[in-house]
Amino acid sequence: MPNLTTIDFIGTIVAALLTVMVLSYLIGDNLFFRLATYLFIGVAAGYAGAIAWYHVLRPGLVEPLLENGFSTLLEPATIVTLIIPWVLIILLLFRLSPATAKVGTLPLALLVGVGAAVVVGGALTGTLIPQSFAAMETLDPSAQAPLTGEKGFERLVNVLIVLLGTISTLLYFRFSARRKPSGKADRSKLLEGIAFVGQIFIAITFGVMYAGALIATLVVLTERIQFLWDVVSFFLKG
Amino acid sequence: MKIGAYLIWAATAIGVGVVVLLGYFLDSQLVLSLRLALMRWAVLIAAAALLLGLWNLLSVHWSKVSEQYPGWPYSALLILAFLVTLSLGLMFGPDNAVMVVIFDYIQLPIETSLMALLAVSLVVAGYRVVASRRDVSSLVFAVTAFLILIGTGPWLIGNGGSLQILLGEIRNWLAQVWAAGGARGILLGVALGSIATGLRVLLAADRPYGG
Amino acid sequence: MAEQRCPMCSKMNSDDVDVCVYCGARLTPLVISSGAEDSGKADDSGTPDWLARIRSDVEANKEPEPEAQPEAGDDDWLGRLRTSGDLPPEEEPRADASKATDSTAADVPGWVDTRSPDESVEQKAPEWLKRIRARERAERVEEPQEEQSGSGDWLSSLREKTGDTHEETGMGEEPVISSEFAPDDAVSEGEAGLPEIQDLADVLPLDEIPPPEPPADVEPALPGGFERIRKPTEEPVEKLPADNDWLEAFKEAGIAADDEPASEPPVADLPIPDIHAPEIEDVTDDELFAALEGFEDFPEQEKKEDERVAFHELEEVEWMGDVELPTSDTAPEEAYPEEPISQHTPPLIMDGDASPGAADSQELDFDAIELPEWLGELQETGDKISGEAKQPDEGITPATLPAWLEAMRPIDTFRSSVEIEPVDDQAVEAAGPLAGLRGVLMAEPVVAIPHQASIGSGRLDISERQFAQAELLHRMVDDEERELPLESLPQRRLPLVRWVISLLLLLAIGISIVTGTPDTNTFPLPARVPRDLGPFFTLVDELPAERPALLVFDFAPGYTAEFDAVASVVLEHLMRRNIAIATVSTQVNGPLLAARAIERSGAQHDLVNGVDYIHLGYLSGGPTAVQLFAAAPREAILQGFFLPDELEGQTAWVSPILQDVERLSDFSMVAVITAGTDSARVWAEQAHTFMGDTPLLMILSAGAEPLVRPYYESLSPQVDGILTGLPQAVAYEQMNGLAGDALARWDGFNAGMLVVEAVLLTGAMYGVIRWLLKPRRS
Repeated sequence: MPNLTTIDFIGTIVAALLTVMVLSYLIGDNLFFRLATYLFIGVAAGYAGAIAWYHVLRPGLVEPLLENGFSTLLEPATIVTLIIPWVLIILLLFRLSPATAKVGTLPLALLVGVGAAVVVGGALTGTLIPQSFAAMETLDPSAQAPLTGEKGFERLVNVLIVLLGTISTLLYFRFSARRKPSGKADRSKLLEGIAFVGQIFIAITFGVMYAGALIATLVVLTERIQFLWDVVSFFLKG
Repeated sequence: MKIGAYLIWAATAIGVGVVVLLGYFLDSQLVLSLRLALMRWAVLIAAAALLLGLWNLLSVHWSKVSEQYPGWPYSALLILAFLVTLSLGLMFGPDNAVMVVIFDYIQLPIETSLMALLAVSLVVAGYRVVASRRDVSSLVFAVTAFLILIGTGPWLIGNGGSLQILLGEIRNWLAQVWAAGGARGILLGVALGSIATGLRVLLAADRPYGG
Repeated sequence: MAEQRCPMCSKMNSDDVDVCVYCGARLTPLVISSGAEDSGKADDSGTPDWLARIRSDVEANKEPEPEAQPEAGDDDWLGRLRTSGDLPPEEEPRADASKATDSTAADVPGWVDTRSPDESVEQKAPEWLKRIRARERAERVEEPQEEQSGSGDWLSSLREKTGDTHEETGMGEEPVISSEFAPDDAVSEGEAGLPEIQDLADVLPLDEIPPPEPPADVEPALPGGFERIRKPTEEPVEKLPADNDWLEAFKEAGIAADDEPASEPPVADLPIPDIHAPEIEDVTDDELFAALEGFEDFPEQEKKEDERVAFHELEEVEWMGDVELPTSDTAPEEAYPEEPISQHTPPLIMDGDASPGAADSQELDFDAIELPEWLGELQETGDKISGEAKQPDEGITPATLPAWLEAMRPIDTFRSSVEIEPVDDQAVEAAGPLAGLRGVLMAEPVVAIPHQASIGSGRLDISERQFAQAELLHRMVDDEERELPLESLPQRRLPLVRWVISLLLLLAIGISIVTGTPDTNTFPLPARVPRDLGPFFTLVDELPAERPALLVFDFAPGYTAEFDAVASVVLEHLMRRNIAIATVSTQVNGPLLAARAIERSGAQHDLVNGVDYIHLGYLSGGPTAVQLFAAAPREAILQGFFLPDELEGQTAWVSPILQDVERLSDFSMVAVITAGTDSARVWAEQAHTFMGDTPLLMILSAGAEPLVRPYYESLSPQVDGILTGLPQAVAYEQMNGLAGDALARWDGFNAGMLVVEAVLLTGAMYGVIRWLLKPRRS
């Protein structure tokens, strides 16, 4: 461990204590664990408020007003970049009170409208179309994967597996069925079979994701234990 | 009045949404300029909404302390930490050394330790899955995870051997082909759902903003 | 002694009296001739069999006389008849049964007695009629001459005598037959005291009275006397002095002896159907209702001798000409006594009705006459009457009310008979608002004591479904009230599995860390380079050095330990190539993490802030901020983070690193460091259209790789490179020839991996054993 200043030294001890307090949850829920978590929430929330003001609102609303002055308030550019956002944010502040919450609906409507459009546009142009085209990869055996370098039969099999997985997974999430005269609504046998295949693919995907998450958290656990050992060893070594 | 206000909110959401959506397909300078302005406003409103959310968090815990609900000392600690951090951040700035210290020695170790607890929880959950559940999906899930771990983990014996290589290839094949097929289907499904949900908002079929 | 009930006042009289001792009403009805066409006709055969039969039945049911009361009022009407003049000819006699029964033998108009001067007819008249006629003749002699002179109209003379005084006649009281009432024709002087009826067309001796005809809808032609009765004039009726002589004559005759005032008047020979008889088919409902409307006052129970109701005061109702209306003195219970119809209701006097009296007519063959039904039932119900006024000789049974009228009677409300004591004998009310008063009506037992109404049923008619629902509701209510047993607190199970696994992991990792050395690794390093690492490494290695690289730190602080190992290898690579680095984040803590990472990796490279690296700061807004940054980076970032001193108060875009950067494609590469698939997907969706030739790399956590891989595995990939997890980072470090944090965590990671693998394997074996053993146990 490098030379530590006093602050660093105290901070390291605090960090070690907090680490132990949190890891004590392995034994069971206790006072120290709750103290540590509530402290974390408070600190994180405070920092989030500080950075939202310092890096978004102040440079976007306050500093231009202070720099340009009130003389430029009536300019179109100022109106667009300053006045309207100010009005919208003031209207948003009315949502603090239930009695005046209706007034703050306009900025929320704007925020929701823009967000919905961005999501729709991104999903359409960034996922749906490209991934659809990606699923329609050529089955030409001579083609080669640009990044992985696969080619020939290996690539062909991989493409077919990916294609099968894509279609079966999509069909698994289709739960529309025709109601039979008996009143029971079941999917057709073919669809049930394909959906079962899709279920297998989903299970494989989740298995991989689980293993990956396990690996990631193991790394974190390792780092934490290593940190604690470093602190202990520092104090043991004097 | 109520009907009129609803129309205004819906018209606002639809109008701005259409303009932003058109920017994905049209290369018009007017549309792009208007689109940038709207997104800038949305960024500012999102930051203000973050502050409103923090205010709500404060008020909830404040009421717990004032009413002395069970666990109110924890809420008091939260309020104290929040106020101190916010004050220091507003006073010195979020990139100040003080904030870095607070982050490095309080927030970071706690959050990292919480993530470390997740490792134990995941292992316990995996144990229960393989020990209790016996359906096909659970079997495939458990086998896949085990193969991935075996292919990723170390080999104390036979390291570098053909078996390890084989299992490594199986691991890569599962993760990069089979899982990719399922993931693509999931991504397409997510994209379709996002498009449907977004269009419902843009068509005012859903009004999450109220009114 | 047999008793009979007065039809007017419903009081009990003895059977041997013809006039009610209380009200003076005739107890036995008189027979009235049916019309002019019947006049002159006589029954040659004498009393017809049916009449005799009725009379005999009546005589057989005679009840003992009640306590007699002075007969002062009995003969009043007779007295009035005697003292009055001729009856007005235009008046129609009321064929009211009650009034008819109220009239005693002495009330019989003179024309009844003296209609037939024919000696043969006279000889054929029954004894009682003979006596009446004789008596009337004697009384008439004593009358003032001026009363019998003139037109000889006895009814009109009665009317003149009575004047304007209104007298009551009603049920239970003797009817006020005004002396002024007189038939149009002069009444021949018959028996003493009664004016003679001169209109012989309608005046016949009783034995000559033709058989009654069925009552018509309109009032049939009546003898003049009864015309007058039916339509009383405005002239008051004078009371007739009491005179018991005629009663004495009756007593001697033994027909309807009434020794006491309160004796039951004999049943008159008049065709008097019972007003309450249901057999009155000829009376329409409208007529009866119209008649009932005229019942304004019910006569009081107490007998009032001087209170009479003049006939002219009664409403003119056509059919009620045959009905005697109750007087104001008549109590409702008297007017409508509680007993069955046939027991108390005086018969109606109906013109043209079949009447036993008509049997006296010698000109008619009564054997051929078909009796109406009500008259036949009269004979049957006559036996049931107790205390009803009946004429023993005539045997006329009272008529019964129709069923619908009977249903209207307030049976439960009124008592059959109410005896009112004299005022002095009445008790003083002691409680209530009427305390201190006498004559307060007693609370009827029926009214005072709550009882279940006889009419209507309180039993509900419910279906099985309703019963089931009621039972269900009842059960639900009972369940709410039932005390549930106290549930024992769930026993807290010790998390033994978690303890064991935690201990194993901590021990394995700790031992590997403690026993390991910084320079060597216990566990073998990856032998093979991952297939994805090569392109990534190559791409980074071939980046143009003059253009800055953008690193997006979009992971939570919790993943710092992993990304300290994974991202540091890329940072190290970039720093070694002297590629300027710009950092940005869409996470709140991202700028701090970026600064920390740069500081850790750049410590060995002496990097200068603002020259070798610059922090753009925080992007607020999620996907919108990414889209805005991708479209116009300079408009999205207005400030910087951890700016150098020379850039204080300015934006990060003025730094030398970013002076040539206007768009996203101006960066040499964009590397997104993220642990979440959403962030990677957002950047892949929003930024790929603005990337141009700039590669988009993903530095991912091990768990995010599957959902990012589709963007990579494509002929037109949106992601140009993926670096995933610690194993690839170790391999990257191997390729780079530099030892970093990845290798430092390798042993502990591998130890943990071994424990995890062992735990999962143990769990699988445990599950298989349980599955194998389970069927055997069962």
